[in-house]
Amino acid sequence: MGRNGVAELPWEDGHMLSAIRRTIVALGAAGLVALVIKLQGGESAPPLEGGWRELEGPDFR
Amino acid sequence: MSKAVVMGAGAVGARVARLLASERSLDAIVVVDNDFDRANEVAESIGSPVLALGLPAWPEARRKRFEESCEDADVVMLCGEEDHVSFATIALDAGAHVVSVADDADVVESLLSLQEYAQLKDRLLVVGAGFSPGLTCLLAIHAARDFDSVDEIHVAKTGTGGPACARAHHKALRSEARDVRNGEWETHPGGTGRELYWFPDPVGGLDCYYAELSEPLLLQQRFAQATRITARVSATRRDQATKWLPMMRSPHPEGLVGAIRVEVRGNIGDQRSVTILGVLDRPAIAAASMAVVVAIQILSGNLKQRGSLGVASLVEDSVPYLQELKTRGVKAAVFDGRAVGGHHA
Repeated sequence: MGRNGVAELPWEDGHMLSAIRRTIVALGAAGLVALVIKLQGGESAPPLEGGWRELEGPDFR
Repeated sequence: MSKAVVMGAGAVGARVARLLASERSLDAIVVVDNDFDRANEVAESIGSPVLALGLPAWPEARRKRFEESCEDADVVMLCGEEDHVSFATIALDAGAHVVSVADDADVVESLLSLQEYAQLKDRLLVVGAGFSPGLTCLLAIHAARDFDSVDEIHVAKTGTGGPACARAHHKALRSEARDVRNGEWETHPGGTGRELYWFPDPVGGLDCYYAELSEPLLLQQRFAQATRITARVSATRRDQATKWLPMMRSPHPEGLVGAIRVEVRGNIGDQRSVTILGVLDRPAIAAASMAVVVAIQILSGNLKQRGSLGVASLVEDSVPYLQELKTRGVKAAVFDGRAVGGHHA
């Protein structure tokens, strides 16, 4: 029972509100870190010049 | 009368038997396997001069049966998942040359330790004459031809042959990898050291990781002056996550498309240079072709060395081997170009 004998709803509990706030802060921080890593990371595949060719006559000299 | 024994009737062994039979220079080829039905299936599909032999389960009887099969054999091809060291010893005792396609680093090291024994028997034991190791070592020799000094060799592979190869790949990724850094041996946990490597098309770029591969050991024997020799395998996130577990699914019986890539760095004159060679093929086919090309060299008397040697130590001139492989459809490629931005090509 809450103050004045009135039942307190679960979301009015101070602990629960604190946990929700912490969760939001943690998710925000994780998102921020992911954003920094994403922005700092290079491209997954480097641009290339040239390519593969089969070994032929001059390569077997 | 010339005779060859093929131990193992799996993805590689069956192809080795077929390729040897097409040589027409052998009077008898005996395919030996634990599963007689499998060996017989291979022998019947090829026809003369291939015969099938099953090995009993009892160790002494197995040994005796294999000894009997090796009598008068000129060359014994070890292509199965069995104990290559024991079977190589029996074959050497019988007076046969031996070609092993073993890819497990521990097995390769044990086979190399038979160096004095093979010399004593005046026979040649070729270790790791498959796709990787084998073709990788051949590409390294070929790439190194134009260099005055070789400093670094980086080997990478993707794909597996038959089920035995897939199990070795799975084990390699979770085992301790050894490589050469600054001329010294170093160890790394398998599955670390991620590097993006570009394989011949259409495989393209794949993340590769340290694994317990035998290339550093085999290549170091030839390129003792190299300060850096590494070997990596490609792996997906699922491979990484499940490497500690038993294999969840049965491996593909024939393997799928695979590729190898060998990068050699060093000096030509006073200029730094890099050569990158690769092969795209089904690993079981390429491994069988490589093993047969080595066996033909032995049977034709072109290999005079004796002892236990890897392809890297055995081959003086890579060109005849690569040309012979090319006629069999195993085509090597060179990467003409460079990666922009300092990444590996």
